[in-house]
Amino acid sequence: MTQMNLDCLGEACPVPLIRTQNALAGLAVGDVLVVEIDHSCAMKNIPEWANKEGHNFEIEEVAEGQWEIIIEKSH
Amino acid sequence: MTDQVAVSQTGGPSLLTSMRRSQTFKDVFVQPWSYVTGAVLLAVFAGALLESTGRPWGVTSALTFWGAWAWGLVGGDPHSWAYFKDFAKGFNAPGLTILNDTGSLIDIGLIFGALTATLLASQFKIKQIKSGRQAAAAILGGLLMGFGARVSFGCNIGALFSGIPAMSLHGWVFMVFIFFGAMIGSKLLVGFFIGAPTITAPVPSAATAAPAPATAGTTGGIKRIQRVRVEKKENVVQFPIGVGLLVVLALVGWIYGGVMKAPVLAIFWGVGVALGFILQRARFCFTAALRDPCLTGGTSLTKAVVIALAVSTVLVSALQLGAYVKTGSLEAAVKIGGLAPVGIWTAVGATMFGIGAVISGGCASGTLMRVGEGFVQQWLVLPFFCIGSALGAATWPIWRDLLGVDLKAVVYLPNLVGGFFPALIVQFVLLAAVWLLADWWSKRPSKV
Repeated sequence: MTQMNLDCLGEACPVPLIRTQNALAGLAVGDVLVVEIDHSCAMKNIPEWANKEGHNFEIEEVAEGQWEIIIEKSH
Repeated sequence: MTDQVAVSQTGGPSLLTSMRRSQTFKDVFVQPWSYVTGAVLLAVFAGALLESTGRPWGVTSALTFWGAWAWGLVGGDPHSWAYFKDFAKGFNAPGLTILNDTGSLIDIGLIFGALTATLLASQFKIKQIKSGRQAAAAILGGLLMGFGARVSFGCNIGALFSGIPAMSLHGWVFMVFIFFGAMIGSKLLVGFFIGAPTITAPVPSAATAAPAPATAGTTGGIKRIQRVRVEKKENVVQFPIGVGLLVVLALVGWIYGGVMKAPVLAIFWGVGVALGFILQRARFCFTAALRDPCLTGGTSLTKAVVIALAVSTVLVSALQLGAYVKTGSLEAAVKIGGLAPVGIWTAVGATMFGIGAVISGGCASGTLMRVGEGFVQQWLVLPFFCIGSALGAATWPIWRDLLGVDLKAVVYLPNLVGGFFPALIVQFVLLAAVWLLADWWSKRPSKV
């Protein structure tokens, strides 16, 4: 299992989601991608996308207005 | 006094703190609301504004005023502009300032409403921009949105959110072309403004069993994702500031309504705060509704916007019907809601607006909401939105002649399809069609 970090701090929608989609496409099943975001809409649309795609995910608020979305590539 | 101190020291968390830790508080003030919740509430508040003041919700007219006032401050004479004589005549009302202009109050209220929502959730952060490209996109996007809003006589709020429920043809034309603009904007964004390729720095994989719970997520019975977890310290500063700000906002409303005896100003102020609060809590983003279908494949916001328009149509058409029944003429009904002239200019302006919204990262309401949330990118967008908008007003005679603008070309659907109820049916069939199209689009097999 590899864990990769994707720094999207300061990026506005839809950039974090596009970067997440691209990054996850390059990972192997079972790998974990940690997306760091501070865009308050991305903390809703990235999990929504991961859920729709059927990936295992978690959201953690790591600081005020800053989140880490942890996605495990499931397929 | 000493007793109270002793109690608060030994008696566990204070009432406010335990309230903040409750699940209800988290559901209402911390976790984002669903898009549909936001959609319904936005429609209700916009409807209430129309019902109580007779005026639809708009955003950009005030931004034009701000740009024009700024031009006046540096020595220009915006009061002589033909735009303010032909169309937005309110600008030359005697004694009008940013503090008694209804449009300005609702916009400022919206910014502070979003700020309050962010503070109450303890999620305020000043979000820096990352690159020069982002700044360029913000400036260009702001100018395009501002200018486009003038040319099309509206924005995503004035034309789309208030225009469509008023059964104005310009709202529908605006919607078609803002989609078109959003598609162009998406291509530009991906092609030019995203910047350096994704930096994916691998970090040492260290799996430990730290106990911090995830804020949310669907682990669906599968084992927790293996990773190091850091527990966030509880912020004790933002929430009290948020409560204090709420008190100040209420006080401002009371000064307008109670002291200055200007209830209309108080309503605009209060509705602005409420709309900003709702937009932020639901992360309601019109731009995403237009852009996501072609960029990321998501349509949940698109569907939520359709729901907002449907609820709004019910509320606005009820008011229109009341006027229609009372007078027996559609002339009275057509005066209610946000109707505006429709023509080639609507298409041109809406396309510009769509491009600008996508590359700058937010439409008119979204820009204001994010200004309140602390996005430096939108702090940059807003002044250029005002400049673009004022530029549009200043150059009105040029594009009026170029695009052949006819201010009387207001098309009311009931006049177009021959009757109030047939128009209402057409309206709902169209809305349902957009919803079904969006729903089908999101369920296509995914490419990723």
